[in-house]
Amino acid sequence: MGRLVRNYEVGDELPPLVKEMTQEAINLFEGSGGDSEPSQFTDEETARETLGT
Amino acid sequence: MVAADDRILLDWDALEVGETFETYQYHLTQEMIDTYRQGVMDPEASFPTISHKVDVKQYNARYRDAGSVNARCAFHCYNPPIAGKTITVRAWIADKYLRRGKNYIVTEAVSVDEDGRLIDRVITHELKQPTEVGKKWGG
Repeated sequence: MGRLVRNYEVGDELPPLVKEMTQEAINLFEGSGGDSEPSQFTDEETARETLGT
Repeated sequence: MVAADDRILLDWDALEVGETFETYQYHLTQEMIDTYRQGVMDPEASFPTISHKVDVKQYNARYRDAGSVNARCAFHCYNPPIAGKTITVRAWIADKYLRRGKNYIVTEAVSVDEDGRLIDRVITHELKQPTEVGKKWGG
């Protein structure tokens, strides 16, 4: 798929980027980094331990 | 049976700026790239190395602490990594500072592929003060 190339001026407002954040997406992001263990982003108990709360 | 945690307990006062971590290598696969692109919902996302969090990973491999808050993180993207290449990461303690009575550490890492292409640089500031951790979210 080709990219649309535009000339921007300093101060031009960029179009908003809207995405629906889901736990599934977070899990995919975490998993893509090679982390198969639960992280503070994928598991509540791990989050408590990591954040010290 | 739980393995013993033989990592060093962080002593912020003793931590030396410039301390380097072990060189870290990993093989970047097309599956990693595809999964990353699904995760960020962008079929053209070019820097799947971001999700590897290589600076903090190396810190956590050597040190343990009582919790932290990610206060700031910056990625400098240079050349998109290529599937099938081995990525080599050098990471170090870039800085530490005291601000408003709170201890911060700054980790930094640079990734290069097996052909010597500079991939990216990541710099992360983390608050290391357990008593303050969690308040941000009302805990």
